[in-house]
Amino acid sequence: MQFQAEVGVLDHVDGSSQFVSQDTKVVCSVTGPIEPKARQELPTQLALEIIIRPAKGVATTREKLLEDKLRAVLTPIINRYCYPRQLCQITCQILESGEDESEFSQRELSCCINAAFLALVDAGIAMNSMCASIPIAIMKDSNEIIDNPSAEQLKTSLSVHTLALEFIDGGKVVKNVLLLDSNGDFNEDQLFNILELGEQKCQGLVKNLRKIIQDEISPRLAA
Amino acid sequence: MTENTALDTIEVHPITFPPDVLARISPELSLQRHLSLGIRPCLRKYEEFREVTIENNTLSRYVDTENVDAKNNILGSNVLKSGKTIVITSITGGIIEENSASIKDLDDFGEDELYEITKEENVVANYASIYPVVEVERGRVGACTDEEMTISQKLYDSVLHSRILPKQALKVKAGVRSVNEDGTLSVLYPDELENDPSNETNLKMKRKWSYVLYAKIMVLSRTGPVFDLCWNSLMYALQDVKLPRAFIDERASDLRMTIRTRGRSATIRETYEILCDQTKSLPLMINSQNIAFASNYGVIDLDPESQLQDPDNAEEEVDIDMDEARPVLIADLDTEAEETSIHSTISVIANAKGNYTQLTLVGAGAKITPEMIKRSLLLSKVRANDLSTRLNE
Amino acid sequence: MSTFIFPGDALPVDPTVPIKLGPGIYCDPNSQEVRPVNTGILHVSTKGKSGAQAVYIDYSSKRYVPSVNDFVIGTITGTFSDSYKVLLQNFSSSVSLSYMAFPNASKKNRPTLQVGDLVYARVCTAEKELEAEIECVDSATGRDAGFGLLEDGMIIDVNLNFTRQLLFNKDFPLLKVLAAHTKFEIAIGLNGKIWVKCDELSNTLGCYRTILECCQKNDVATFKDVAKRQFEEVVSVKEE
Repeated sequence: MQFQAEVGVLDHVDGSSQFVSQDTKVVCSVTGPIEPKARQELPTQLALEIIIRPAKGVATTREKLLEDKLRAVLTPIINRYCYPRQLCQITCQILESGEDESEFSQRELSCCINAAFLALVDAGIAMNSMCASIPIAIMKDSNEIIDNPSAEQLKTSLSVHTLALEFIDGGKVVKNVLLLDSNGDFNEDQLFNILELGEQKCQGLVKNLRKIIQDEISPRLAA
Repeated sequence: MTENTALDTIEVHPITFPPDVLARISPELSLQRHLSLGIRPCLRKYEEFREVTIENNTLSRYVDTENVDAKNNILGSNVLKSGKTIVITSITGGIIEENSASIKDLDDFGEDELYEITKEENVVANYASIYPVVEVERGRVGACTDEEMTISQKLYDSVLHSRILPKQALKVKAGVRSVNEDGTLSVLYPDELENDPSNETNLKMKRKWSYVLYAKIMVLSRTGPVFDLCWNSLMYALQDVKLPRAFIDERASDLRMTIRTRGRSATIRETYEILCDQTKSLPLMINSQNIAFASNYGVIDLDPESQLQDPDNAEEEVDIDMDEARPVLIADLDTEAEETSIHSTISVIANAKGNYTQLTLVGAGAKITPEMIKRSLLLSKVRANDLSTRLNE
Repeated sequence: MSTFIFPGDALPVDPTVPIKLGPGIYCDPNSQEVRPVNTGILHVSTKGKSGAQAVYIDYSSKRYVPSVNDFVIGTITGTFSDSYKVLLQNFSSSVSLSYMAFPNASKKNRPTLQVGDLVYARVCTAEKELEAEIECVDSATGRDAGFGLLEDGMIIDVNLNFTRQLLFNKDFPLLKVLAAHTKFEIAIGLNGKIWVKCDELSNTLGCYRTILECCQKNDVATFKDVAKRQFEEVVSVKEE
């Protein structure tokens, strides 16, 4: 997957990142652990407040659903028991959507997942594992499986998918499927082909993410 | 010295709770105890679904097939009962004027040809969706919850990507109401006059309208995740929707009106008043081969430590303890215990032929293995097959 | 021995030797599996007396989580009947500073700190489930240990790892570099705050700018040049 990512782009938050893939561009900020409002507080674990802001207009139910999916991905990878009664605020601002927002959200979702992961690492929040996400499309007629499809390819696709995988042991071992969100028309074989291709591509992505993180963070620690 | 060691020993007494108390204070443990016996807190087996009963079109304006109830604006409805939960779906509609630039003009084709064309151009852009509003009744009023919003949005997305509602099916084939020579009013519809080509050309209109469908989905006594119930209810309701015919008044068709936009400039625009026919209606032409049904699953690791042990069989006990946590697939999640303790879920929308239109797999808990996915897909297929026969019963 | 490590990676340690968990290492209570949870440089030390290997990760962050024996700088944000409410970082959960945690404190002899004052203190309890407590006294001897009110001066917000370097790394040259330019008082809080005070405001400003730039660049070799340039700039502006 072709992408550019930057870590630590914002000064006034604890962690931040920018993730760009094709025409999709997301900036994410993480603040935490901080003091929660009384209604957010969880007695044994870290509460997460996840906000996604769309590229244009105000947030709608579409962003609420994206927030719900992002939460499903981030909840298991954050070590929430390290910070009981605390809050972590994760905000993703979509700068450019890079797809037809009325029909698709796959590109935005996977960029938000990757950006949020980088920002969490930047903030130094305790985490159990690493994650990486890619959008996938199966094309009409050819039945070809395409990773990171463009806005045009999404439009002529038969089914669209967002995959997020959890990695441990140096990004080599897949611990679990964090999210597979599929829409369209597909069958069982196609689904397993997607998982197979997705694993390969996510592994490549996680390798690149590790390099970006190391390049950014190791100079900070050098003395 | 001896005194010290005596102080260091603490006696631990096991605490026992009645099952219902344990379920309240530790739903996780209660669930594990149940599962170790091979059943779930709701007393179903691992892969057993709840029974579903449906009633279609009991609330709509077409209850009485002879006389249309003009005051009722529900175009299709469904009441679905599953366990203790009741889902009531009512579909209403509206008519909007189309922005002609964005819609492909396919008016010159007949019904069959249209179908061929939409099939060929099987892209999402050619399909519409329904605007659902899900309301989960909880005995209090207030702003809608996140769950209601996400379910509504997920329903919208799934209908769109399932390619059930072709945009073409929502086009208004408007008629014209005219005054006959004898002073009576009559409505002429272009598609009803196909053998008379001269009339048809007369009735060609410049403006185009289309129907928009809204679904109000009410969930009563929610006991577990409800997306699949809402979806199934919506599917049943959609299959029986009839769209009222609409016409424009001949006299209104050349009406001119002045419209002021914020007091600045005045523009003159031609307006047609479109009216709904109180009696005539056409069935909604959905892509019925894409109708599919939803089901949900959870994956949970059986914790060897919380298994109920048979006191007579102490040897087996050791064996169980040595066991690794074993994942099991639970179908049709219900009850609070299952909802809060099972973090890995699979939600599938499938049709009886084994095509899938929606799949959400969340692996926040136990590892979801390929075998689990295969099994859930198979169960979904069987379930969809069963549910699809309900409407004709 | 140091390697760059990520959350969830396998720990390159000898499994037969007992492990002492340091920051950034977590032991899962269910599986008893020991894994890194932060991203940074892994340090394994076997020098301890017990023979156990101490493992910790030096990672970068800006948000402070209280831990016992850390020196911190806080702002008094409220007073209760027997303690102050102290904020260590914006939006963080506040910590408490008891009236009895001052030298020579007694029921009658109350400390006179006010809302808005800065204090230098030591973290004395930090249970993650409870509100942390700080103290302005050496609790072992009950005597003054250099803590207490910080008057005047200026606060600089920096990375947590920078303050750790400054406080614990004896070879870190920043303080020596600053000393070459001016006389100053400094308090280093591990919560990412540095307090400096000089006789003259212009010198305080020079220190402030130097420390901020050094933190951003984090390149030890350039510290001297940075300090020289910043102090010159401040002087030249002052002369104008």
